[in-house]
Amino acid sequence: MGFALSRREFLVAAGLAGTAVWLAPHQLFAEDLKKMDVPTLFLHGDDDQIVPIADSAMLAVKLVKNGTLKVYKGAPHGMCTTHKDQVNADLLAFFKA
Amino acid sequence: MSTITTRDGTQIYYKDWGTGPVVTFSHGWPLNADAWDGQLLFLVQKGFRVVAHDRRGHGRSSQASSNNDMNGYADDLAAVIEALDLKDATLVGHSTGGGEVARYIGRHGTKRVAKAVLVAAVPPIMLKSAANPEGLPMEVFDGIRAGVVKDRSQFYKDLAISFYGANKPGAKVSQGILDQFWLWSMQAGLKNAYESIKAFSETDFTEDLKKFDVPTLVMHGEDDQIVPVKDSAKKSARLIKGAKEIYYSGAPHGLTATHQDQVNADLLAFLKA
Repeated sequence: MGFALSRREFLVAAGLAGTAVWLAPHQLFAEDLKKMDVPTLFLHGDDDQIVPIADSAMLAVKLVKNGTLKVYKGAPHGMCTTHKDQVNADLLAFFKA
Repeated sequence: MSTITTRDGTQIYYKDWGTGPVVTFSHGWPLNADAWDGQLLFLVQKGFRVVAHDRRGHGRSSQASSNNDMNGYADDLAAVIEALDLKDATLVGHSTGGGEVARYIGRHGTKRVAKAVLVAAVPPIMLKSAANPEGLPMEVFDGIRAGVVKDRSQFYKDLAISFYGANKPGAKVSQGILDQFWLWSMQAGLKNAYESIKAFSETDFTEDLKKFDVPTLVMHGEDDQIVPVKDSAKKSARLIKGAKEIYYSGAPHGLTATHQDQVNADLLAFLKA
């Protein structure tokens, strides 16, 4: 009802249907990412089956002003649980840096 | 949801069912008040008013950052009792909750208390020391801490088995009982559950138990794999003046579920005596 569009309708309206859907997230957040002017850490598994790294962190890290990307070899999307110790150590090092 | 707010801003959830003489219930680690449902409904149907709260950091209560220790737990029980203006209450505590009841009496006295019941309770003290050679060594509790930190979900699934004695030959423990242990445990905050391990293992309740001056019932399973009966109920009963003791042959730590009918009948008889 009203002017609310579903995500798919929005993407179609914006000409982003089909495979272009996968470009949508970083394109939609691009302006926000460009405004990030504080040190920013990206942690991402290279075996993420939910949010593929190539289409997310790899692109996003280039848009922020001071980004660092740490790629976790073989790590899945739920890496904060499966790679808890490594994630905690990297977070701690980043906070202390 | 029914909650009271303690002096440090923590919200304590409680259920308050029925009318009649009051019985309060303090649950074990790392569960919540639902662990008493099998007793609560039974006693409501027998004409009692039952009040059961979720310990801070457990169930539906706030995951408070501080006061996750026995004094904090006892003061929360006092806050519930005072907020509801309960009088002549019988305080029932299971495991860690038994410690909570003991510390409540130690800190707040028995002005509002008619009777006390300790079920598979942790007092006088679980930890082994020179003064308590029958206790469990610190490695046992360090193991619990490590298990909770590493993968609490799997740890609680595994713990349910020894908690209810499902690992014993001929044990008949339903999958539902094991599953509800996991469900309730997962509701507890990690920090709260972690800090509670020190509270239930290292707190010395000896002086609290000596202050009991109301009729007290001590109930314990003789096959308790979590809180060994020899180092808990049998010692507490010697420290509490005139304590009545009931030991359940072959019963595990979670006897309120596995031996529900027997426990309920004995509770009722003690409440009516």
